[in-house]
Amino acid sequence: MKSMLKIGAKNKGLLHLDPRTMLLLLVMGNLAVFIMPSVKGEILLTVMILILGLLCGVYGFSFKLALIYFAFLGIDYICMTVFNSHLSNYIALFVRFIRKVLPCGMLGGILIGTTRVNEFMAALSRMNIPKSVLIPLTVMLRYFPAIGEDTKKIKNAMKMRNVTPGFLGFIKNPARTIECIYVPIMMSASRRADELSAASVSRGIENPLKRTSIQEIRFRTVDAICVLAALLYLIFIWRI
Amino acid sequence: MNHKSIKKSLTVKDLVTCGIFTALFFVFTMVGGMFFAPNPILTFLMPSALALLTGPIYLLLLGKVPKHGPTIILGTIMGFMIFITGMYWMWAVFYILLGIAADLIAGAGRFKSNKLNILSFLIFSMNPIGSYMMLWINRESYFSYMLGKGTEQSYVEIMGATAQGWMLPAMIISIIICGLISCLVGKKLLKKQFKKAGMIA
Amino acid sequence: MIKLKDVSFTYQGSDGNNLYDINLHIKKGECVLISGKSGCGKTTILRLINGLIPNFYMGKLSGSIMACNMDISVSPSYKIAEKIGMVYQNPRSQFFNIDTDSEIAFGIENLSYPRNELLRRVDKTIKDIGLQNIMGRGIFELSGGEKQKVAFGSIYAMEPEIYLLDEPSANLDTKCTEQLRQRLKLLKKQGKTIVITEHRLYYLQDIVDRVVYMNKGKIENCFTSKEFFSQSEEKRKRLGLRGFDFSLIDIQNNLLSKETIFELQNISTGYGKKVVIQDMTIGASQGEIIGITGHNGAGKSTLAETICGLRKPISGQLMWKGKPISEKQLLKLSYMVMQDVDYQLFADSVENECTYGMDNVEIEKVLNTLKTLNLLEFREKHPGTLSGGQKQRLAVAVSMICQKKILIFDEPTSGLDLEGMIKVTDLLKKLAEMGKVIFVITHDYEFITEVCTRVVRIDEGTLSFDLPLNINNKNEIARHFICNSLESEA
Repeated sequence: MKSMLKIGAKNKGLLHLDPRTMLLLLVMGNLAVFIMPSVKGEILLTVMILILGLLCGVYGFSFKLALIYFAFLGIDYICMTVFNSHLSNYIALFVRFIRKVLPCGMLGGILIGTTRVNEFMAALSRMNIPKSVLIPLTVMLRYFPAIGEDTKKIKNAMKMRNVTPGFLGFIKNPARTIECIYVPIMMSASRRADELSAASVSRGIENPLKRTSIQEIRFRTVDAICVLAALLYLIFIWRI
Repeated sequence: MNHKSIKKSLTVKDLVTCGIFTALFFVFTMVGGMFFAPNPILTFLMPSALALLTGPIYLLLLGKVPKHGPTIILGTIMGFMIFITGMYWMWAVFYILLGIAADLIAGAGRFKSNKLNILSFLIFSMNPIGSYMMLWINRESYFSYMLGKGTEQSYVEIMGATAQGWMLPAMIISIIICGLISCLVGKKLLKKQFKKAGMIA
Repeated sequence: MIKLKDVSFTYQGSDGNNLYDINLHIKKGECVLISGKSGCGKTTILRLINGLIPNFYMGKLSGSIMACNMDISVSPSYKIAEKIGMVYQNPRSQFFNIDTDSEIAFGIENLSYPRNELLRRVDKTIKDIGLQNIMGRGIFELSGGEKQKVAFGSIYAMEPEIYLLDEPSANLDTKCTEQLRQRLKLLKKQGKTIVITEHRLYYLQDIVDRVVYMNKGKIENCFTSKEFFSQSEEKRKRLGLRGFDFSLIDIQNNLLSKETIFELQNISTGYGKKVVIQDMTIGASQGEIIGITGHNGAGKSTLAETICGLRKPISGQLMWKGKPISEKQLLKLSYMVMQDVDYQLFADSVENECTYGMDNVEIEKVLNTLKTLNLLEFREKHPGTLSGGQKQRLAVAVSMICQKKILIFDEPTSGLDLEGMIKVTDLLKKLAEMGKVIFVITHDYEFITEVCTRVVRIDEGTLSFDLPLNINNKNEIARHFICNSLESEA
């Protein structure tokens, strides 16, 4: 039977990895950054992740982060060689601090950009993550867009009352601005928590059996290849 | 006849509440992080900024779910998010460990004691120190982490200059001050608005 | 199928009983409508049947509830979920996922069916409910009608024996309500048992078999469908029920007043480069009440934001008293009463709300305004504890104290019973007498005929018609609210 569901990747990349593979790559990426022997090794890592990102179809984000990475590398170089003053050294140091985060940030972005919430949950559930973490995590991911919606409405309401939201309003009247932002957002959060939990209880979320998922998750050959490549890379930089 | 006593373990409602408040917590953390972290002068102020922003959310979460668990869940999920967005892993570990610590502290007052709840928030707010931790615990391995093996000595000297011994206590004190302010505001909001509206007991 | 015996219930923290001595027996395949005024206990009955009471909503319960051969009050929630499905009033609040596919599969995944079965059921749901076009989309980009469809689909996939629907039409336009009616027909054909609570009754005439009328927590009367819908208009109004049949509604000939004070001239507006409202010209004079209608997603909210000055027009001119004004100046003149009023209430008491964000407000003025709107006795209370109608009036009070000239109401009657609707009608008329310019976004035909002087209809971002509400235009306007259902019938 051919399903009408458009199951699968969010993006139309050449590759689609199992979320578990992506998580494993993240661990390995963190490890690599931790034991990184040289800038060259770091550049190699960034390029590898960039290629992965492009294969997975996360074009814009991967390019942007890679660009920032190399820009930082450039700033670092210029600061250390051309200027070499205390200030420039400090800037170089800061830039380096941020730069270290970028390769894994890119990996994280690829994970988020290619994985659908349902798929991610299925993967975590397969990894035996307990429900007491799984349910809040799902709810959190679902609630992010709602926060955006709420904030927009609250901002509009504030404008109509001539209470300016944002930085300027905060300077003018901090107490009022804090109240205007926190109170409606937290009130709405409390209400939604009640409604949402009622709706999920009446759809069987308390079932003690393990959830099944319409989203098929499976290790494929590409997953093995990616993990293998990452492993070889780790051994390579370890040996240097 | 069916007057059930409040269950000690977490119900689905509690878990959903945790999820929604963790989302708020994460968004406010991001707002603070985005503003402070990528700025060379303000970056060391980020931990206190986060403490300043998140107090009311933390206290309301404890007010809505006064049981063992919510702060552990909050810490675990925040740690997980920090990890998958590629931040330094020690930060993630700190989130989880401090989440457990905060749970025990607030639990000592059965989650009803204002003082202990605030203390638990202050302890929890120490989490961003995790991302700077290597700077102090083991300077040499941190430098090699940051700079790679075989770096010139001058690099290391600059590093050392910015990571003076007084930075850590200064950071902790600023977190405590900001956290206290945040909690006082949060407590006031809770009493003035949420108790009156009947949203927490 | 469902048997409630001597059931009484009191919510935790509530003073009196919320339900008294409910005895209700519903047979398999029956479709029962529970009607009554707001707060009569309709929703509480649904919660009893699906076991949310007493497991989720705590309180004092007596009597026995049996459904599908289960003793509901002691059965675990996931066992009940297999047999009894509930569609909530606000679909937005029941979504657990951010994409439609996952949402539809959510319930059956919880029940741990094997993957083949999941696929079969989701496919069947897509086909039966007609979800082909909205699969794989984000929940947040759906229109109100589509959201309702997905919410329904998520329950349908669970294939329960009993369907409970809590005011399913509250946020729907005429077309979507008609689709809802078709879905209910489908369930009936499948022999499912259905229990609906609803204020808008017109679309249910040939669906329901029996009507239970509740009043103050008691079942006051049971009717057959025929008895119920053939009641006289007078009796219907006495029961506090909304209209059954729109052809009976008599449109009053409201007089148009003087000259145009506020005008949108050739306004186009939208998000970024995406134009939502195109080249629209609407004028309004003081004391007018202008109904804005159109399908879910036609651009009504965008228009409302433009009228409020919250959205800068891409092109065109805003005019006030014959002079061009900027959207910033307009923002000072106008005020929107949102559908979710909660977003616009910030203070810790009704009285403080009225002075919030303003300096030098005379206390006398506040008290007078509160008195005019029947809110004076609540002045110490927290706005969050008020009823929906009271919150609405509080928002209006704020607008009056701010001396706003243009008021916009977004769906002010959604989910209101007859009494609630009449209150809103009176309020709007009072505001019109004060010389305000009033816009009302609404799908509620009954309400439009009671209150509006003009009706503006928007279709895909353009003005479809702009007609004064009088006998001559009656058919043209009514066509858009009633004939839809006749057309799809054919």
